[in-house]
Amino acid sequence: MFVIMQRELAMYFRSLLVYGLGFFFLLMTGVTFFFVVNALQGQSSEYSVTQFFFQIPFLWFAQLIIMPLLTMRVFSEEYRLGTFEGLMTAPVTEWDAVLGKFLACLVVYAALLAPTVLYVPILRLILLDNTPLENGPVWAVYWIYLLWGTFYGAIGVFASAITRSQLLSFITSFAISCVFFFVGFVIYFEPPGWLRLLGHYISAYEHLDLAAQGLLSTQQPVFYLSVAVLFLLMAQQFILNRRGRS
Amino acid sequence: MCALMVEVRDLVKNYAGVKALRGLSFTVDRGEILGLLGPNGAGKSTTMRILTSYIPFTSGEVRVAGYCVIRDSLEVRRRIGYMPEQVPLYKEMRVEEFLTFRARLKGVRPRRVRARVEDAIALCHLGDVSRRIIGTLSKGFQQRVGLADAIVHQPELLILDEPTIGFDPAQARQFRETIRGLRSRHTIILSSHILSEVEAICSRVLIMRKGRIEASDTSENLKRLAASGSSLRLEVKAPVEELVQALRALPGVEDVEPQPMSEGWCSVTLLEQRGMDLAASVGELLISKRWPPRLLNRQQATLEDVFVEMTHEDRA
Repeated sequence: MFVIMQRELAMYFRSLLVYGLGFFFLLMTGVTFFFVVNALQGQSSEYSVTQFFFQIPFLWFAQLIIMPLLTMRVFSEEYRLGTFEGLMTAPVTEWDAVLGKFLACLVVYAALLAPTVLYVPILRLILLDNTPLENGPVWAVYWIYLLWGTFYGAIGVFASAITRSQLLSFITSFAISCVFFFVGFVIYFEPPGWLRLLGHYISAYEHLDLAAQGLLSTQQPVFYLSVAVLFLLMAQQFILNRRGRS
Repeated sequence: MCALMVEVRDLVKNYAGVKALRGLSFTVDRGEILGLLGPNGAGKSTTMRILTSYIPFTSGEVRVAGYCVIRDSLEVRRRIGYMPEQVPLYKEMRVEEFLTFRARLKGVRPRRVRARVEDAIALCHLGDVSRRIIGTLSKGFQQRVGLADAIVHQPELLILDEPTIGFDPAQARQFRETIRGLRSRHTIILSSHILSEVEAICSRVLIMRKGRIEASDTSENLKRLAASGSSLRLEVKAPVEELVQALRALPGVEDVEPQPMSEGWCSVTLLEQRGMDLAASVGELLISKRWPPRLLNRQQATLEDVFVEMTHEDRA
């Protein structure tokens, strides 16, 4: 599994995609950062700085695109180039292959996210002592981002395992991710009891909002990780079936 | 240690409505080189893919080194080196880097990886290109990288599907030499369309047709078994009609095919009935008739004749 992960990582950092994504992502966060700094100049707000910064749509929408882009090639490309046969005739299990590739995507995602941590000390320097910026909510937001990465990454790996077309893989994974993300907004339409409960449980945006206020619950990792495992298991099953049909 | 490297019994493989393999049974001893021959669609690649645990089968039993390819798939995969027809290479990687990755993936201990990679590079004559990116190499070199990949973990069984396809004759010859060099280390199963190649390398040949085994023996025995048997070719100065009549009258003659030549000479191909040797009686006939020969040559059946005979569509 780690051998597969290492190879995937080496390939990621050799491809233009990761650097392009890095540029795109830092541009988004940079623009967001600029707006936040501007908005905070001499104004008071009912929101905390963390809420202000991390809830700007640029930032969370980028999260929905990054993982489908990172994962679209993991299995699709192996199918297309025929290297899948080489991989699966080596002594590795389907689960090793799925997990190795998934973990590599997660590491790249974390690497893309890492530079944004620098905004925190910069923001603190600009704000001086006028507006409090506590560490807890910031780390809570990064925790939610990592859970998102796990969640959307697993969806992406699954989408890539079901087709040899990278484009189709991207569209499938982006569509599933969007459904999960936007279904959560149902809570703002005051639905009946059970739907409201479900909405609160899966609302990614609310999870982010609460984290930005420093509120975390065990519900969040349970939801994201269990669904991620489910998608990874489905990916494994698709790979097994694909071998059966070869 | 199991004496048999491969055991296949009553192997059946059905794809959606198509019977790819129909009750295949054969064994391969350790140290043997088995050649799989057969026209396209005979089931060679399917058999190989089943042996590598890559695809499941409908019914039957398949064991490699005593391990079932379904239940003990990982044990089987540890013991095989497989080179498919379309060599699967990560073309953006460098040769040495790719082989190192594959060695580690196949469970070679970290301390031995470097030595095994160097060994495979040397055996497959890849020394000059070991730092090159695979995608920039010629087809021949890429095939060699595929072979190096198959042998890098020193597997007990090598399965090579059309290993010389796309080679020019010089590359194919060098590749054959490489495979011959591997004979002492591995049991080898290879499929090929180049019959002379199979004849030169393999200790046993298995001819397949429509998912069944038509024949399995050494190439020498197969040639002996071939219905076309052997023939004599002679060039004689004699009247054509008379010569043909006299030859046809000899006991044991299957057919006579004359071809008149210049200055009264005539070339004749004489097909013998199975098990007959007519060289002596033909010689006696020519002496008694005072027809001077300038050529009397036995033509042995080639593996190609056997192949065509065994896999011919009209064959019952």
